[in-house]
Formats: sequence, C-alpha cells, structure tokens
Amino acid sequence: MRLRPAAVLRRLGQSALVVALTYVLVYAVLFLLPGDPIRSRIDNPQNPIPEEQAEAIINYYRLDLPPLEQFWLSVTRLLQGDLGYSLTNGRRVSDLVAQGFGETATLAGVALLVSAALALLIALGAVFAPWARLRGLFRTLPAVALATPGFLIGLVLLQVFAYQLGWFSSIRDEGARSLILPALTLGIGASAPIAQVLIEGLESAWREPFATVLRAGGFPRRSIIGRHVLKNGAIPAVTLLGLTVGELLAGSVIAETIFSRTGLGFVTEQAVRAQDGPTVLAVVMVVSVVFTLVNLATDLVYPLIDPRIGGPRSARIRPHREEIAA
Amino acid sequence: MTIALDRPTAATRTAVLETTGLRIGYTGRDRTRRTVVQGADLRLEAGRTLALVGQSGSGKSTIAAALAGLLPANGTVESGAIRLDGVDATALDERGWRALRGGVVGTVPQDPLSSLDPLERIGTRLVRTLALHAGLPRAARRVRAVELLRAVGIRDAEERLRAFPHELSGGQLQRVLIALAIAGRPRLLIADEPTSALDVTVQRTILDLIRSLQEQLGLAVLLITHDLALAAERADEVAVLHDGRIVDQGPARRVLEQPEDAYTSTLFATAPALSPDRYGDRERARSAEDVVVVRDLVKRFGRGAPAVDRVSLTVTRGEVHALVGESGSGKTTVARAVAGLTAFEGSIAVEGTALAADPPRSNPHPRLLQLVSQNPLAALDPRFTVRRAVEEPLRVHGGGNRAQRRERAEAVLDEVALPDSLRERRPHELSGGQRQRVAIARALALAPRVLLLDEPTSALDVVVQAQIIDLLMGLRERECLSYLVITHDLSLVRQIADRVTVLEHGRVVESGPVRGLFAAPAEEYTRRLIAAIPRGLG
Repeated sequence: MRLRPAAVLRRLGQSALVVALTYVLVYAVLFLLPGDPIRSRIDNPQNPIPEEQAEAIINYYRLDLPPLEQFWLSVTRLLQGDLGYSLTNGRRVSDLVAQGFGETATLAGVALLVSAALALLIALGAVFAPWARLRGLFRTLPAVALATPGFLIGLVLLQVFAYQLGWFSSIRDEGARSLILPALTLGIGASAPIAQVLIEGLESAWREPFATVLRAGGFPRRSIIGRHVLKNGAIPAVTLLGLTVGELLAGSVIAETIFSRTGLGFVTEQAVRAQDGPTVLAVVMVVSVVFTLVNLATDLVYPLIDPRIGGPRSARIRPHREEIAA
Repeated sequence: MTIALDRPTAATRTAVLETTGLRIGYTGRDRTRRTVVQGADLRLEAGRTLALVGQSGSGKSTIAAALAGLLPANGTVESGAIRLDGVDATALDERGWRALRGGVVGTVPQDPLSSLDPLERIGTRLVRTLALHAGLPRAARRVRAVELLRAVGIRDAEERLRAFPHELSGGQLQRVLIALAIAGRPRLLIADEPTSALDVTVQRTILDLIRSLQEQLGLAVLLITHDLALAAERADEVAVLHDGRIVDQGPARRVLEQPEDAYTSTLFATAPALSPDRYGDRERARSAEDVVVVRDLVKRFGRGAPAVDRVSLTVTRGEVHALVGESGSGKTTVARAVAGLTAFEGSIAVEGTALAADPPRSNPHPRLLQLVSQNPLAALDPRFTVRRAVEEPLRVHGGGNRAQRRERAEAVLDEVALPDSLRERRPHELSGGQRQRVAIARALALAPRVLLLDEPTSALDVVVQAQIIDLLMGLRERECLSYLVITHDLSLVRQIADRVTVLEHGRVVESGPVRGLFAAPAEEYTRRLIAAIPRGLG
C-alpha cells in the first residue's frame, strides 16, 4: 500500500510551512527586538573584526532599512544560499555551518544507530529474557539512563576509557575512533525513551491473539518474535526515532564540548555565547530543516511498514458482499 | 468446492483426543493456586464433533488452551492425562508441543480480526505454514496455498494471496485461518467460539465450511461454545461444563432432550433460540398511540452512500420494537439519532416532541427516553458507586432534594432487584449482569417512557441474559414502558419483540409484526438472517 500522491504533497507542504515559520520566528526573536543587535555587536570594543570589514558587514545587513525590508532582504539572500556573515569573526556563516555540520551529522548518525541498537537490546531483554529477575533488571535500565544527565555519562566514559584505560585520547583527533565515546554519550541518553516505547510495543504485540495463533500453528518462538512481534511492536518506536534526531542534534552541544569536537554544537555554543545572531539563525534553521526532513521521511516510510495506513478506505466493504454470495 | 488434500476420508474408530481426569489450575499473583478444571474426561474420535458448552469462567477455554499446549505461563496441568492421536501430551515441553501443533492439532481462533499478523500478506503466511508442516518443495507451496484458499471458499484465491489481513472481511479472515489450521493436515481441529465475533449470516457459512472440511478430511472437531443451540445443532456429542466440572455429557440428542443435570436444564430453558415462546403468554395489548416516530431518517458520514438511508419506523406505547441488522447496517446510527446524540436529516418525534435535526450534545428529553448501552462497564463511571451512578441523572436534571433523590435511587434499584449489599460498590466490583442492572436502574431514574436498548444482552452469559430479559419484560408491564431494541440476535427478537424492522446497508428491507415476519419473510436478506438462528436438533 502506498500513500496517495495528494497526501504526500500535503505532507510536503506542511513540512515547508514548518521550516518557513521557524525562520520567521527565530528571525523576529534575534533581529526585530528593540535595540540594534547587529550594530551593538560590531561596535563592541572587544570585537576582533577589523574596522573596514566591520563597515562592510554593517553595509551588508542594510541596517538603515525598515525591519520588514531587512527581513525580506534576508529571505531573498537565503533563497540564493547566502546566509550572511558572522558577527564575531567576519567569516561567511554558510562556511562555518558547512564545516561543523559534516562532523555533527556523522556524530548524530552514529549516535542514532547506537541508541536504536541499545534500545532494541534492552527491550528484547526486558520482554523476552528467560528469567524474571533478568527481565526486571533490563526494565530498570531506561529509567536509570533517563535519570542520568548526558554530561555525566560523558564525563564517566571519559574518566574510565580515556584517563584510566587510556583507550581513547580526550583531546587528539583520532578520526573514527574519537567518534565512539561522544556517540555513546549521546546514544545512551537517547536510547532510554525509545527502549521504553519499544518495551511497551513488544509486550502488547506479544499479547495479541495473532502471536498465540502463530504458536498454535507450530511456529518456533524465535521466528514469532523476530518476524512478527518485533515488526509490530517497533512501529511506535519508529516515530520516536524520528523525533530523537532533533534531540541528538541539540544534545551535540554538550557532547562536543565535553569531547572537544568542533562540530555544529561547538559552532552553536560559540555563537550563542557571543550573541552572533546570523550564525545562531543559520544553526537553528539547519536543525529545523534536518528535523523536519527526518520526520517527513518517517511519515512517508510508515505506510511501507504498516499496510493499514494509506490504503483505500473502502477495501473492507467490497469483499464482504462477495462472501455472502460465496 | 473441490479439494486436493489427500487424507483418508473414512472415519477410523480410534480416539484422536482423549483426556482422563484432567485437572488444570492457575497460580495467582499472590502464589495461591486456583483449580479451574476439576477432572475432565473427554474422548473424541476421527470424523466426530464434540461440543464443549459452558458460560464464561466455566473452564472451557482453559481446556482448549491445554489441548494445544497454549496455557498461559501461570497455568499448569495438575493431574490427569492428555493423549493426542496416540501421543501422551500431558507433560510436553514447548519443543514437543511444536511437533504436534499444526500437524496433529489445528486451532481456529475466536476473533479472526486480530488473529493474523497485520503486516504479513496472507499468501506469505500460508506458504510459511506449508513450509513448516507439509514438507512440500518450495515451488509447490504456492500452488497448494491457492488450493487451500479455494478449499475454504475464498474466491480469486490467486489474487487474495497478495492481500493483507485488513483487506479482508471477518468471515474471509476466518476462512483464511481455517485454511491455515488445516494446512498441516491435523487430525484434530479445536475451534474456540469460532463464530462469536462474526455477523450472524456469516456464522452459519463458517460452521458449514468446518463441517464440510471435517467430512472430507476425517477431522475430529472440538467445538467450544457458550451457545447451546449451536452445540446441539452442530455436534455429535455435547459436554456441559459448569464451574470446571463436566456436569452432563453424552450424545447431543440425549443431553438436549433428557438433561441429567439441573444446570443443563436451566441452560436449555434460557437459551432464546431454544425457547422462543418463553414470553408467549405476555400481554400483547398495544395501544395505537405512537411513542417514537421516525420518518425518512438519513445520516451521512462524509461522501459516498449514506449510512442510514430514508429509514422510517414507529414504536407504539407498550411495544417492544426490534431493529435488526448485521454490523454496518446502520442500526446503531439510528439509535444514536433517536437518542439525540447525532445530527441527522429527516424527522424524529418522541411523545409528540420533534427532535432538532442538529441536536445539543446531550439527550434533549431525558424524561421521555433513555439509552441503555451495550457495554455497561464502559457506560458507568468507574469511580462512582452504584448509588451515586443512579442518583446522578436526578441531580443533573433537578430530581428533588438530596433525600428525595436517595429515595428514588433506592426505589429503582429495588425495581431492578439489585441487592442492598451491592449498592456501595463500584462497577468493577460487580458482575456483568449486576452492572447491566445498574445501567438499567440509571436509565429508569428519571422515569422515562421509552428505553432504547442497544444490544442489551450481547456482553452477557446465557443464563444472565435470560435474567436481564426477564427483568426488562417485567419492567415493561409494570411501568408500561416501550422498548426500541437494537440487536443482531434474531432468536432474541423472536422471543421478546412485537414488531421488527430489518435494516440492510442503511435501508429498511422489511418491517412488520414478528410472528408474521418469521413465518413468511418476504425478503431474501431476512430469510438469511432467520436461517442463521441455530435450530438446535434439526
């Protein structure tokens, strides 16, 4: 069963609207509030930007125009891929973001895999482990992970694996290796809610009559769990996995600070600290676009997993009459 | 119907199923043991049908589960023995049971709608089941899957292989489940209430299918049911289960005609299908005064054909008017419109007062008409005690001061014969029958003239059903009430109704006095509905 084209278009439209509204809102908060944030940043005596470049930036932002026209200007520039200039170092915002984004996307991607794998492991253990005590132990893990702040997980991992065991360096860039600890830090935190939803899903799917009917048909337990219970029970968790992407991007600020990485989180941290409006705006927009896209993707993937969604509504009525005749 | 299942069709005289002194118990959360089946001796030969009859809680589903090794984790066979096709299955582990399931014991479940994985195409499932049992080469499985679907009467079998469960109707799903159950060529088919979730006309076709497969394959069939009339019609032998004990057992005719046990007699006396004239001597004095008048009622949900299409009916004072039809026929929608719970087109008048076509959110004339819904547990606030639930309508609609309200509540609770000791309880502390009494008392609190009864007994056991119907018929005479009864159960209609209106796809196909209509139904649809009533011993 596929989604009808009209539904896909409507969903695409909604996504575009969400992104556009985010832009308007964040722009308003950053630039339209009283006081001239851009000029005050540039004129700040501590600002390292050289005199003539500062002048160029102020001219670029056309602060003499009324607010609405400034906004319009920023929209037209945005549509041309021009995100403006950083107020702290004068570099192009698009360069700053592009540089950080790759690194953070890798981190968030790996962290997403970690959280999905962890959640699956915990949920399977909590529902199907052979002894009640073991199941109980697995069941408490998500609560523990939820109750532990992300930075604490990061610090503990650093303490154990970097300082005591010396397996990783806490400062040197070791390529893929240095991805492991921050991805774990992010993944453990994000896995907790997914695991909880998955536990619920697996339990309710296991209680469904169809699981009993499968047993009555002589199917082995492993295949019932693997082929049927897992697929049915994971559907709610898929939605949550989509929402988790946003959380991982936001959480990267902490992970990147702890593990001294220079991703989007680091860029964000710097920009917020220095009230670098254009950069903050760009970062928020990147996160919002990614978040919207991922959720759009989960919505579009849903009907592929669950044939009951997006099918023709009249499907039930047609065979019914035929059967009476049969 | 052609079938290509090569199984000896002659019934052989060996027991396919044999239990001796079977006792089954459950361990509660507090580690207490409760024995729910106390020594069952059953014997079933190939080609024969044994019906296990009892109310909910009698232990019949526990026996069915034990015979397929499907007892829940806290259930155990305490003593006795189970032999399936000559194999001692009393103490098998999961692996041992797997060897029997599908190949020796096939199971037809209760609710076909939730019994198939919604994410798996039925063809995939059939092919996998065949791979598990039939030992066919890969290429032949698909061909056999189509044969099986044809054998259970599914049209366009080839095409249907690609269907997902939600694309089939309940009856078709049950056919698919039967195909799955016989795919491994079992000797014994356990059917646990195989039709209770299906429409009445479909029920008969499914039972006919099971019978014809039984003849072709020489299956032994264990039919678990609460419906005595159905058991009597379909089984060679009947075992009546009461509180975990088999109280009567023997050939169907003998059990039905000369029950050895008082409980069995009660069961037979109360089953509507077997005692159509239970209220035959009731006063049939109907005045010509119209109480509810529905004219050209139309209700649309979205685009497409209306759910209710120009329905007209009249309930006169003191009458029991039944509105019957299968699920989806629009009968509940009519009830909701009459109760003022939904907007409609056309006209509805109760005691001469016309209903606004776009009614307010609650019943606009609570003192004239009250609705008693199908499921009393869902209809009663779980936090309210019985007294408070019955007093509430009085409080909402200004039924006097506190003392008067209390007095009125006690009076209606007396009327529905709910013992004093139960009146401070909450709904979950009551049995199904007691809850329905509370729901009726609550509806009566404002002394309405008409009760709208939406499947008033479908959630109840036979004996309790009879008690509630007794109560309703008694109330009708004492209070001079009129009833509009929504039901799919034609045996109940025959027993209690004066007039009947038959709905199909939102349209009235037939309407008239019950006796005349049952004697000579004019419409094919009505004939099918009537034919669906189990006849007992044919």
